[in-house]
Amino acid sequence: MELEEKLKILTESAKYDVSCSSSGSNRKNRQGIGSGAHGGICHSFTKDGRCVSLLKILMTNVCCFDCLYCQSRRSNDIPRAIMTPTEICEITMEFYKRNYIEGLFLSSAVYKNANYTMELLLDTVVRLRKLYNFNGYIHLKGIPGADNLLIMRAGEYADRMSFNLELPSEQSLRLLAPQKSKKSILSPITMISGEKQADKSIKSKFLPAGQTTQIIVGASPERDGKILRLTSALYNKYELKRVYYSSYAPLNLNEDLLPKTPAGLLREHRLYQADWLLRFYGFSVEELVDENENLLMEYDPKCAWALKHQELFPIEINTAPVEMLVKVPGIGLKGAYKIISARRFGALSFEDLKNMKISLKRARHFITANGFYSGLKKEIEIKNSLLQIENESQIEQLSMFSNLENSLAVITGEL
Amino acid sequence: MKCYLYDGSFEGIFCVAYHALKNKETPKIYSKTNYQPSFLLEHTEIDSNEQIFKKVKNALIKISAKTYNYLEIAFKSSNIEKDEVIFNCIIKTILSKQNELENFSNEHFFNLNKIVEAVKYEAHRFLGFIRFSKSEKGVFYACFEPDGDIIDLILNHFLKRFYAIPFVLHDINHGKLYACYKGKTQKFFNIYKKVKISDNYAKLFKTYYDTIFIKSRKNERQMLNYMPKRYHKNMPEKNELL
Ligand code: SF4
Repeated sequence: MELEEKLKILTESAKYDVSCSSSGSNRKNRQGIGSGAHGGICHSFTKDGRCVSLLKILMTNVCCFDCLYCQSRRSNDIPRAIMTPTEICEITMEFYKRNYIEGLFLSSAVYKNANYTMELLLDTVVRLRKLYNFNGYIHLKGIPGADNLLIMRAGEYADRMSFNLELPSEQSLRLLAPQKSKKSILSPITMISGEKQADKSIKSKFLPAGQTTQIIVGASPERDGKILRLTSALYNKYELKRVYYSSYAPLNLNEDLLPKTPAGLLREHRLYQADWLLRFYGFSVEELVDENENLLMEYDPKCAWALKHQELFPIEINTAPVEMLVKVPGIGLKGAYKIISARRFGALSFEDLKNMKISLKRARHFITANGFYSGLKKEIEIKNSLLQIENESQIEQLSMFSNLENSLAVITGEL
Repeated sequence: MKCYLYDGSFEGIFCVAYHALKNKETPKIYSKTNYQPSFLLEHTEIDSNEQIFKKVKNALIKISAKTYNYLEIAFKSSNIEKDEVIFNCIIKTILSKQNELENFSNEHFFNLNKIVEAVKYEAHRFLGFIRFSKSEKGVFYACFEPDGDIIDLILNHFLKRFYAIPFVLHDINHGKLYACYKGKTQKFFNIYKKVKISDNYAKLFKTYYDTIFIKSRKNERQMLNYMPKRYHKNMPEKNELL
């Protein structure tokens, strides 16, 4: 089979994987080729608007597992291909030298068995680093059930590893991914997090960009509240760098255990918004959603929170602490920064906020400037106005969040 | 209204600012290169002078080195209002004797921040959008067409990354070219013609690019937001002839 044909098949199988972020590693180049870029770099954008940062492929899509939701599952009749470690190294190097990519995101189906697959993956990253002197970014997807030793060795060479949780509960996992178990996924996550926490120095060569995971949303009955509690534990207890959400799409239609309808991008989008609030805005998961509930579809989670806590508003922008400013709907981290900087030079009016290009569409109902309030008076009017804004902006925002970390424009994203 | 004419250079703006401060005037400023004489304006020509430039520059750096750095970056912009903004920010900083960069409610500093952000954003984009082609002799050549004069802002990144590779960065909009190898660089000016190289990997990358796209989520408008059409010319994945 021609390399181009293989590349097509193995890209096709990898493309639904959402994490394309290449940030968080600051590998230095010594005489070799490549370096990490701390902020992450997008090299291109696909026609669906996603960032292309890494060469994202499977080593092989030949699988001995049969996860119900997966296109590469054993029982599906699809074109299959395998790339050798050398082929993967060559194509990575040639792409990298032409500045097409930031590095490699290598994952694989379970070929023969977990250890055999993990050994091939390990072989590939060792070659890249040792033989090709490659200093670019490597994200390696771990194979659940592989030997601990193999996993730990791979961690010495990769920048980031991820073991995907796939489903938010043990029960769903048993039902939909019968050959995987909670233990086979959670134990490497625990082990890696233990190793990272034991050596916190910046010089540590072990997975400098940490670990991430992915959860499929909507293939199983768990609610957002439950998913976000899991997320929050993964951030706090296991110090994961990112949790990615992938909205379920029915690829295998004659499967009775799976829903026939896709989860929809809006749900995924709301989860990313809530995730963002957990990581950067100082919200706790309890503030955002109850365990057995979903996030509201009508408003973004910050708006929903603010509407529930009207006793805290309006706040005075000239005196409010920064922790409160960032909680105002429509004022993001960057907006809050501009406000606290500018107010040192003099008290700010609504006019000033407008000049600073801070959008007051949502915010005006929650703030005063020099004691003046310019929002609507009645709660119901406020709600209607916010609903309308949400509807208008939704189309644009959708699917933006999976790109967030990679675009400078939205790094400082206003929520 | 008073109006000052200068030679369009970065140094020139500083010299104009010097005279405005000295004469306590608030003139409009125009670059000689695109000035159309008008009866309503009485204009004074200000010559650029190295010593005056340095004097103002040093005074500014003493107050805030970061402000000076911002002005330098702003000057790389293709925004036609940049000179005016730089001029006003020099005056305001010298008069107030403090770093006003974060004074976002002031129009000039707000605009300065906006221009600098745009320049930096374009530079950041080109860290990703630069495309090299490998020549027969093994030199990696990249031409690109940025709006701003950003080549100096991105050079270092590539020097570090491709230390072991001979490569050429060529901004054909501003005619600047750097040839680099093992940390050494050579700079050339006034070269506006791009070198054509055909490279087999371009096709392979286009295949990759076309395959990762999820058809059911097509959103070209968003793609164009992040990667405007004017940048596509030198990107193989956007070359429909491949
Ligand atoms: S292990 Fe499961 S999810 Fe992974 S490729 Fe095989 S069938 Fe798909």
